[in-house]
Amino acid sequence: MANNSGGFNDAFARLHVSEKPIEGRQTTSTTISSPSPANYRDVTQLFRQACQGLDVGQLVKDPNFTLFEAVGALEIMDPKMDSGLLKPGEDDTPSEIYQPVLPEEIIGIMDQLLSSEMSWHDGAALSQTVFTCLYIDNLLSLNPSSLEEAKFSLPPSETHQPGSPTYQLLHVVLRAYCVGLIKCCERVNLQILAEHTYEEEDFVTQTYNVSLLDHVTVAEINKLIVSAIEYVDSAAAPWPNNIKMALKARLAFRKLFLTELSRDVKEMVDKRSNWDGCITLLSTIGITRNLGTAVPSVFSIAVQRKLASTVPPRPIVQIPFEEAFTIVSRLCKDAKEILRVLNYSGATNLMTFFLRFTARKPQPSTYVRSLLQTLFFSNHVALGRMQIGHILLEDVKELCLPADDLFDPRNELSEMPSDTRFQIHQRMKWFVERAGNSYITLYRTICQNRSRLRRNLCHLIVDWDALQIECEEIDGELQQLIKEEPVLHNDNISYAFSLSSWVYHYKLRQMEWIIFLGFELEVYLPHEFAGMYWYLQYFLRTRLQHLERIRHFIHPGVAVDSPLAVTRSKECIASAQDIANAQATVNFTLLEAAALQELCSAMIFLYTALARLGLVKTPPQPYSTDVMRYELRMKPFLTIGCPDVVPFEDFKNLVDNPDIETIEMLEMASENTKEGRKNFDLLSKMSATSSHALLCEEGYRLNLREYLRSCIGAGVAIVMLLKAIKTNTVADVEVEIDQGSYHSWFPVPRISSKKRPPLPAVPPTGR
Amino acid sequence: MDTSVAPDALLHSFITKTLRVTTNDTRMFVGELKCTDRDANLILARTHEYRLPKFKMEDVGRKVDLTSRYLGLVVVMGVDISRIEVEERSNGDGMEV
Repeated sequence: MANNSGGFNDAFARLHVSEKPIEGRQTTSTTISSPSPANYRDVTQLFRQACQGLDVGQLVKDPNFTLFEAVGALEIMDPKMDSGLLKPGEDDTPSEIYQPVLPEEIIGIMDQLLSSEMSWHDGAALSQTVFTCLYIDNLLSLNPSSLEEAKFSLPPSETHQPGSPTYQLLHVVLRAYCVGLIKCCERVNLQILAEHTYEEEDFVTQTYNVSLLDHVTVAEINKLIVSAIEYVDSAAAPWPNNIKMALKARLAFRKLFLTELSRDVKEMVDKRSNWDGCITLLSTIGITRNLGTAVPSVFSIAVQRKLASTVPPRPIVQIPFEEAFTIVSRLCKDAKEILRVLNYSGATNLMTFFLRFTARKPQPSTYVRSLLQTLFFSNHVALGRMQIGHILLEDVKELCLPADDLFDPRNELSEMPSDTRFQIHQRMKWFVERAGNSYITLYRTICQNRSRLRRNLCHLIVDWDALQIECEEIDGELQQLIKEEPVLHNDNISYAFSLSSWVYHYKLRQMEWIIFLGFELEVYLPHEFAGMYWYLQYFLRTRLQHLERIRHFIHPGVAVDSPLAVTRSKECIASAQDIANAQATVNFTLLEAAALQELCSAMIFLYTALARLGLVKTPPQPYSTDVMRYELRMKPFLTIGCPDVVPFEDFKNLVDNPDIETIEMLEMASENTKEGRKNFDLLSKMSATSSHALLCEEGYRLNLREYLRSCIGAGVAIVMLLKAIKTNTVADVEVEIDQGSYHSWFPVPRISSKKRPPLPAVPPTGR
Repeated sequence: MDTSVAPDALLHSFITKTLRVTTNDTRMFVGELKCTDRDANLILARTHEYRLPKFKMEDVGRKVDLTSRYLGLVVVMGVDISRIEVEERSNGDGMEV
């Protein structure tokens, strides 16, 4: 060790001799103050010489540093990795920013900026979109801390004398627009960071250490935009009216859009939102779109050189204006639509809205999905004004309607631990806290992107399974406390088990969604369809039985001599209407589940028949087997207590049904589609109220129509197949699975006769 | 070459020291040395990149700092390096001169 240190001290001694003045104080060519007051000493020569002494492949490294980490390092001077690299002959001094002269160019730049902004909303990074605009860069690069500082620093030019319309165009109109846009980005980023979304997957919140006018208030910016609008309106602005209208619409939209993006939940609850205003202004922007002249030169990838980024450079993304226009219009409409959840009208309605809204194609934007989460639950308040426990208990009551005594407000008043009311309250409080968490998580999960939804549901069902067991215990205790009267059900004396019944029902639904989403996300291969539909119909059948049981136990009776009977408060007693409502909910849910089950059964038979006829083939599986694949598919369900996963051999038999003739199988499938269709028809005739679709009637009806379409499509496929079998023409048939034109949960095989190969040219025989 | 100085011992003394590396394109990288090899390829951690400012003082009307940005972990190839400097702390830790 001593030897070593002596060694390098020597080396430094030598260095002093061999190298010219190497002083502690740097005398580099840079005249800039060094980044820190530290002193640097040139060791180039010494370092290189020492390196030469190493063997090929020998590394000198920090023992705590692994080469594995080095994989993530940016390679300087590699054009693919190094965003700061200058191309040979390229100059780092910024080329002068083009200063537009015509108002048409300003309109063009505004529209290009909107495209950039929407590309960001659509998943690209700011470094690929908004930040590549030289005007935005110019405004932000000096890190303005106030609105006054947020201005263009452009060299004066002859065409832009201060006060002239061209100058105002740039320094008043475009500046106001850019400042507004930057602030919009800040608001969107804040919203998205506040809720759960997937960085890089849904959205890139990275701002590369650039402050998006964080310290400037929305009110100040709105004032700035208003004064820009006033300037455009004034006589000093010498442009034709249509140009003025185009500029004003863009500025006004920016102001309104910023205002909407800055609203808090309270303002939304107070119905102060005005997305309609944005939508109206957008239509003016669309009409005046052709007035703009694009100025592509004001966007440059070179901006990335300055951004603090630990990732390689990425190309500029700018979607065409039409696409951006569609995205922003949809954003405004969706943001307006989610406000409907504030018109709370029951928990089941709320869940239907979440399911239908997030299933929409294309999926609502990340911003809107994030905002929906905030609306649903933020600062311990649900929907801006409610207790989450209230919604949770309403959900339980709407389906199961437990005994009145569980909800008696007098329970809460009791403070004596030995008192029955106190004990009931303790248990209900536990339920609200425990199930409340799972319930909130479920809603939030539904707001995630579809792939994440499926993945997260696989985790959620484990929690709901545990919750079900815990609730069964609590149910048992509660039924003793309230002296519940047992009822005969399926030859057994039993109790309602209301809370755990409700949990079990939700758990089963989530298990169904996991498989349905597998179809939607095209996870399964066609040869697996029959098996996966078998599982769906198995879960659905289980749920149907469970719903029958729930219906049987709605509003369970309690013993007349219950000690609570005397003191029970009137307000907690369920009315006949409440009981009828719960029964209606169960009946509706039964019908819906039955319709799905019929359609799933039809699909099992149809796809099994297709496999038998060799029309859906199992692709070669060199590294896999059917058993392994089955294990993989069942993995999320293996830990679930009830319903069980079926052993593979049984499963195979149940799906393949080797004892049934193919024709018979198809005829059964045909019956199933007819039954399914009947049920879906019945569902379509029900009112929005009884379908619990008050908040999203169009979406709900559209979904029903798609189920029906799949039903009809499957029916057609069955008829075609039967015909082919009966006419012995199966060999001439080809099958294509259509994921697009039907319900994404029920892709339908399209069966058509093969295009016959052209007949060999037969020389005319010449009769 | 003087064989009395063990090259790896000397290089080891630079490990985890802050280096300022100037590349052929006049940029500077300041980061902590993690690893080097025969070709003087360097891996620097917690690296900042420094380049000459784009704006002149008179254009902007206020003081401008050296343009810098954080890059994190980087690899700089030996062939691209025109100068290597080591930071010396006045408090005497690290190398003494």
